[in-house]
Amino acid sequence: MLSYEKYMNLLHYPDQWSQPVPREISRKVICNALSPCISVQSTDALNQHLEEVFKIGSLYKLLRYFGDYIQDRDQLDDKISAKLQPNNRRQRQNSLFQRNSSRYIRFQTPLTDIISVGDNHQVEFNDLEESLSEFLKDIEEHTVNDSPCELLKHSIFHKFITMLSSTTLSPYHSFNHPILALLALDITQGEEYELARELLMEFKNLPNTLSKFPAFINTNDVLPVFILCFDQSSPQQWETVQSLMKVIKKQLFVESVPLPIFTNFRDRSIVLHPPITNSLQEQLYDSSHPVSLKLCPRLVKLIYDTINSMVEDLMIPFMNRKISFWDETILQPRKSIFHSNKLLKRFISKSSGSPTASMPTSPDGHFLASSNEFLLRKLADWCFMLSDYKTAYSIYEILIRDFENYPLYMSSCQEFSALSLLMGAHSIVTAKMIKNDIDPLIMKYLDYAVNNIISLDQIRCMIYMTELFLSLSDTWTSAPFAIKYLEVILQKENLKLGPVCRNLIWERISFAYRLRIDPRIHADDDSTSDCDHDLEEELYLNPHKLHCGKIQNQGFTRYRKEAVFQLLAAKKWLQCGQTRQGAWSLKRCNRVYRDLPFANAEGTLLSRLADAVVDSENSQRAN
Amino acid sequence: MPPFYFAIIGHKDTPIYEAEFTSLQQSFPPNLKELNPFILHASLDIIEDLQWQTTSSNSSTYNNSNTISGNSTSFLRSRHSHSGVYGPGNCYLSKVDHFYGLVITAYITYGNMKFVLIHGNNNSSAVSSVDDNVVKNFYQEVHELYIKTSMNPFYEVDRPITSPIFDSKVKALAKKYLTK
Repeated sequence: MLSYEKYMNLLHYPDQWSQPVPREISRKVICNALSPCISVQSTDALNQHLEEVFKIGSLYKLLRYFGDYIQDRDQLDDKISAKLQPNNRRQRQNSLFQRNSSRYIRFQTPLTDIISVGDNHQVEFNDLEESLSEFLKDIEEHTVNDSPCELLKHSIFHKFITMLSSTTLSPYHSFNHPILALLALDITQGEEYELARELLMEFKNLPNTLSKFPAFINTNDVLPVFILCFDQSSPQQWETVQSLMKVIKKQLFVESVPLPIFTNFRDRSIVLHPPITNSLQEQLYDSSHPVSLKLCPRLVKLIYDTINSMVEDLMIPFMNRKISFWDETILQPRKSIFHSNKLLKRFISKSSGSPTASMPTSPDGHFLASSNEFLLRKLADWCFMLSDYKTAYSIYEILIRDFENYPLYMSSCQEFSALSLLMGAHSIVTAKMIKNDIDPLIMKYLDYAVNNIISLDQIRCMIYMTELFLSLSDTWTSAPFAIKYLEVILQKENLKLGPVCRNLIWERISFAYRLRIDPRIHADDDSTSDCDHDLEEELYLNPHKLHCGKIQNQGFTRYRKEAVFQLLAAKKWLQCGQTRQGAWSLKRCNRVYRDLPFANAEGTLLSRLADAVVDSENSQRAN
Repeated sequence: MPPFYFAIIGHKDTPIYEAEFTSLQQSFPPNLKELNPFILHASLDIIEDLQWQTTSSNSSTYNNSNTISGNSTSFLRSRHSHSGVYGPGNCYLSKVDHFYGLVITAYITYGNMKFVLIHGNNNSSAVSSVDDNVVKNFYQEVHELYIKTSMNPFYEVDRPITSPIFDSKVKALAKKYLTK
């Protein structure tokens, strides 16, 4: 079964390469990239203990293996799951085949680390290009020209999208801001209440102790949770954990979660697959620090259970509480008669000058975490993360008006407003809606974002939008818009995208053309056979007469367009030395050009590219 | 004058005649030159779409893939409608497609032969402009030439037109209308 993890790490699962492209995969990738963040902080003693036992340097590194779509439990295969839960008749869920909202989470390093790294961790275009080239080289080594490439191509593109992501804290949105802060203690090393109190105080005092602490982060909006790591086989430790949980709850008003990570289950260990990378930083880190983590299945199950209960019982209720609090205290007053009355508003703005003049901002021009504007933004982002796209959209709309004088904040709201509209109204988006509401919104955003030099983060958003357009049911209507946005990205010179990134976008344009199929297309050939029958009865056959069956589907597809863009991509792939990608692109365009003498004649672009692929294959064999 | 690439496409997407109209100053860059037949072939998707449209509704969004040429017309509609802008019996489809600054115009004969012209541009960043009346006249005269060629008893439909007279006449027409 193709799970989200297998799809994202498809290269390591050759048996899955011929699977069909999962439906709505783009939405799943976006859900994952914009999922809640959980920061993980562990004590030095715990890190050392983890290093000794599992050869892994910190709890964050260990928990990363269990991130992403938590209900999938993809580190355990079906056999092991059935063995561990013999009475549980329910099948494992699979994120790629279910339509309801999914629970994705991302683990991140402690807040102090993220802040200290700051903007230095910003992904550069060159890093992206290099990593993609490395990734494609890896693919080239593991595949041949004849390998099934359909799903692999999609997986590569979605990998590219995740590489565009970054874990840097942004002042303009709160998607990378942690919602849960895990503070881990090692009970086996005698770490107890005093240390827990110290850790919590340290965490709460971060704004005062860290000189670079950003004004747009509020530790009160992050839920601290203690993770108590212990050995389940020791009754003494179990008792200590129980009492410590009670004390922490009573004295510090913080929840704790027991994690029997140091229990020796005496089972045969399984090798965990590498974690799915959610950003280029993670990708770079993983490639430079390859770790092979082995854990026994029972422990894996326990870790999944712990994470699941932490998310379901602590994080989501916390988010819902905060959302309703912000809704009552900030959003509802905004929707009052006074606020919605344009006349009163005009009167107020005339008498008190610009309303934005008094907006609470930090010296560097960013809104403070406690400001109503940023809290509203956070409210919208959290609604988005919890799949309440309708509320998120309405708040982004309010914020777009509020941020008129703050273009960076406004453009971020515009992009997420369009994203929430596409994510939420997925099944009911009509051509009229796209033309009148979504497209103007995106074009306004593109005009701003492209002309004012932008980061990879914003390119990522543009690509998200195109992906969402392509995942709409009426692709005949939506594909041209996706193509338009991709062409904007390609045509703008100030977006310093490298050749590999550009080629991936060329290929995506080709894919968009492939999806452009008129819903009136006739899939069956009944009419064709009838016409052929009639034709046979005619006395004087005209071989040039048009066949009904051929006529009725003419103009309903854009396969020729798809082919020309694939050809272009093939040429560009070969120019930058990516023979495998070039060969796969040629394979795709050959479906259209195969029987056309003009395309296959000697000296044409197609035949030259095909020769180049054969030459390169021969030289590789010779080596 | 900008360069042009012209082709007559027979049934089954086979070009039966190809020509490039260039001046000394302007010709297609080599990387584009090799791509021209494929760009032209790709535009057949849109030409076929326009060819079989019977209504004018949604033509601006449905015709073209990602670009929307406002003045393109559909073949069937123009043949059946007597009040259209282009009048009855019009085979000229005007601008049907574009490809990064290149404009593609098309013309369909009643025998389903497609005449397609890629209009190059002088300035790589600008989109070529097309004078519809001039281009239409060019197509109509080439159509006449094509009819004469097809009436030759030794000519079979869909076979490449290799006659040097046809070639020189088409080039003369191109000089008269396009590269003048």
